[in-house]
Amino acid sequence: MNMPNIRAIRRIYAIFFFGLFLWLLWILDPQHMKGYETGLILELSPLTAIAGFFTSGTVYLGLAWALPIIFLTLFFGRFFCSWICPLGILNQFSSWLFNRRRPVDQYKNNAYRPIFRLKYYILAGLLILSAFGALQIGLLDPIALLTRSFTVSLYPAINQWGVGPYLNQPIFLGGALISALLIVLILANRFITRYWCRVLCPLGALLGVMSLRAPFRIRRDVDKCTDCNKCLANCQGGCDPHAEHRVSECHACMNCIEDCPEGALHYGLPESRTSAAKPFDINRRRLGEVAVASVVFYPMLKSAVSASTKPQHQTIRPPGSLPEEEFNARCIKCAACMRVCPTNVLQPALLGAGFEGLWTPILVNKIGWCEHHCVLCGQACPTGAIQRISVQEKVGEKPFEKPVKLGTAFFDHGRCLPWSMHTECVVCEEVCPTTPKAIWYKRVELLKRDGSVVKLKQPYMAPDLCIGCGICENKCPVEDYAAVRITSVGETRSKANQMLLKGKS
Amino acid sequence: MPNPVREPPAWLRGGLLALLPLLVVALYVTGQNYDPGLLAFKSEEGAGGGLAAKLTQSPPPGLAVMGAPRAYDKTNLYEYIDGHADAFISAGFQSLTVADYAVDANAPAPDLTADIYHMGTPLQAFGIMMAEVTPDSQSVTMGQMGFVSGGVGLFLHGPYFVRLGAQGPNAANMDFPAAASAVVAALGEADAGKLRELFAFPDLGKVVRTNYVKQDYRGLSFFKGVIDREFERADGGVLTLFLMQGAPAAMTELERALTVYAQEEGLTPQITSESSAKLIVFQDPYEGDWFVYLTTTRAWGGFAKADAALLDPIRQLANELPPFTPAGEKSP
Repeated sequence: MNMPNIRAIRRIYAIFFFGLFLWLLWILDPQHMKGYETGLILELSPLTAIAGFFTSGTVYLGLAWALPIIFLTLFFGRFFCSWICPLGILNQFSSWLFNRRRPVDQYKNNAYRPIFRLKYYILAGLLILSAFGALQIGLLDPIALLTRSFTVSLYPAINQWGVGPYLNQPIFLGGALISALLIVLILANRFITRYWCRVLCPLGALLGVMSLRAPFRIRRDVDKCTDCNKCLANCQGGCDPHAEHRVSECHACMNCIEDCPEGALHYGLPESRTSAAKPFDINRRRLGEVAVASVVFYPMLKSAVSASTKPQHQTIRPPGSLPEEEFNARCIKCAACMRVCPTNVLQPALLGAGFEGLWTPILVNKIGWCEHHCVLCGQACPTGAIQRISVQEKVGEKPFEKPVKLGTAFFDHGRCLPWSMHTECVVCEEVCPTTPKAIWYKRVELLKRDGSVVKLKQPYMAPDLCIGCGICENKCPVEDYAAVRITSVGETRSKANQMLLKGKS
Repeated sequence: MPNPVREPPAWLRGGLLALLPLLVVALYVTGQNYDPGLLAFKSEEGAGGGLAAKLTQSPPPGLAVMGAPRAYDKTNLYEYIDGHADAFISAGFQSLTVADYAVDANAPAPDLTADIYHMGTPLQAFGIMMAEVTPDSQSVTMGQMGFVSGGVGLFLHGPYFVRLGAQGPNAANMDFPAAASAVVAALGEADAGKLRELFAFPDLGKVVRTNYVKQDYRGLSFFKGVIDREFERADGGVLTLFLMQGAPAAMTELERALTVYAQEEGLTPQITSESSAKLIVFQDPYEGDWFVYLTTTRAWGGFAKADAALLDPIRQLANELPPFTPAGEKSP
């Protein structure tokens, strides 16, 4: 049996890892996830590991998977982009799909362009912000971006056709925006092959920097090369294999080796007549400008009103979440927690938690509620922003003294049916899952407008028992703006966001 | 002409390919190591061990099981029946197993969902079923007692109350009795005699309705686990008779509670001792005439005048029936 050539092997890897990404995200639900390492692909990202290390001072255990990628990149170049990265593979496929160029135009399309530097400036800006403590790499890390996009837009869309992975059709805040961004990124490949990877991707830039001294890379034998430029025909990185090779741009796709009619290109160590590599193409002045801009932007970011600077009532975080500052220092906005959430309560925050908290998970209780015995979001989180707590810890069973409190429920008497409309209703009390129930009622006799007397049960909330799960708000029959609502006050994770005077049942 | 392309050595390419199956194996092995309680929200399967497996193995005819049956207990019943869990829990709920079936196993939604509630005792299962039966339901032969209304079938099987919900395009043609048989087969045998024993009512006319009240029957805290049955008499009137059964100690306690109640309310009941029973008749300013006929293990009562036409059939039944045996106890 003939062994497949290296390009075919790269394609097998690409299909395998893209399929693995789809599958791991597909099974990320209570019925199917079992013990599978569903966050594996997210955990492979060196950018997540390094930026997270800058912001939190720790490398979360799962992110140790990034270390082999870093090590291999130092020796074998930026192979991750074409062999493993699901967004890179998707971009490559869509670039191939959209490609209607003549061969001569294809050569131009795949030649290096100065705009490719942009990704290094983006990387620099994000890493500098991380060094100060603001983790924003999740906005642009390709794996987090794709996970978020698939969770919030593509998989729900497939579910609309009846074949999706969700038990119930989910909806997401701002899902259309996230969908639109993904579509734009894919369509950009129509104009420049792998537009995202070449121009914007901060992970690609990081790997490019790491690969600068890689001993194993594409090398061109100048004696054999006839300058036919056919190696450019399918080059994925735009790394100029026909000239002085730009190592930091090369995705190790191996297409150039297979396309060279003279056998002038090989992947490996240098030989006597191989060409030199091009120095790293980056403008130091621009880099300095980006650094200054980031340094200036950071205090501006921290001066804005956000859940970090002042508790926000609507910023209700999942059970096990770290305090807001630390949460933002770890959350990469990948939406894995939203994918696994069985009630759809976890939603990508818009600007309610501040710009730092954009697309981080919050509970929107009008959409769902936090299941009393569910801690799966912590299991799915790849960075530890949501800690892996046990059910016993969440509900406060022994040896844990108190349950994890996400917030507190408050009644709006003006909207509550028994309080203001002489109408029987105890739905909130019925669904309250705590033992004893945080919502209780008093039997009262009320005089109606027509003079008749009606016996009702008026609900009350015991703040020391309420865990802020939100099921009362979700099930409240006052549909648009519930008569009982949860706010974040009293949340276990915060020492500051507490009621100054304690309420008692 | 030989291929000039310089490929990496074959051993390296082979090694790269071999890595993938290794990764698959590693993923699979780690995937099997997990805490099932975490994923099932700490649910435990109810009584009748292996019920989920049995439901999966023997689906109703023409239907295929969709996914693994789900299990719920008191702590998370709210996840399945929002807003109505308390009614089940207060009626003695123990556990719930939910199985989805479809004509096509790959269909996006089930055609039939079987909710199998373990209610602790047949009486409690009966009670919750009667609370769920709608007025337009038709009595059908399913389990020990069954009803069908629209796309919903309800039936009893020992301590189990089963709700079969049909939906989708196949709902109209759903064969509820066949589906019920499949569920009964999974649940195993139930003692039919036990259920009949619960309904120890004399024949007083056409049965209009039978209800179960777990506690505080008619607001009286000492009436617990009561079945009441409405009869349509020959003269067109409606009579309600209730029945409470239990161990002798429970009946003694009931007699004591009735005495205390009479004192507190300022009533003077007429107490007549019979050979192995006691008749207590109240003349209540609010409830009117009512009575309790107490034997060692049963108490019949009615909110009506205790005349011979009513009491004689009760006396006759009391003499015919063996003592009631509470669940889990041996007959004396």
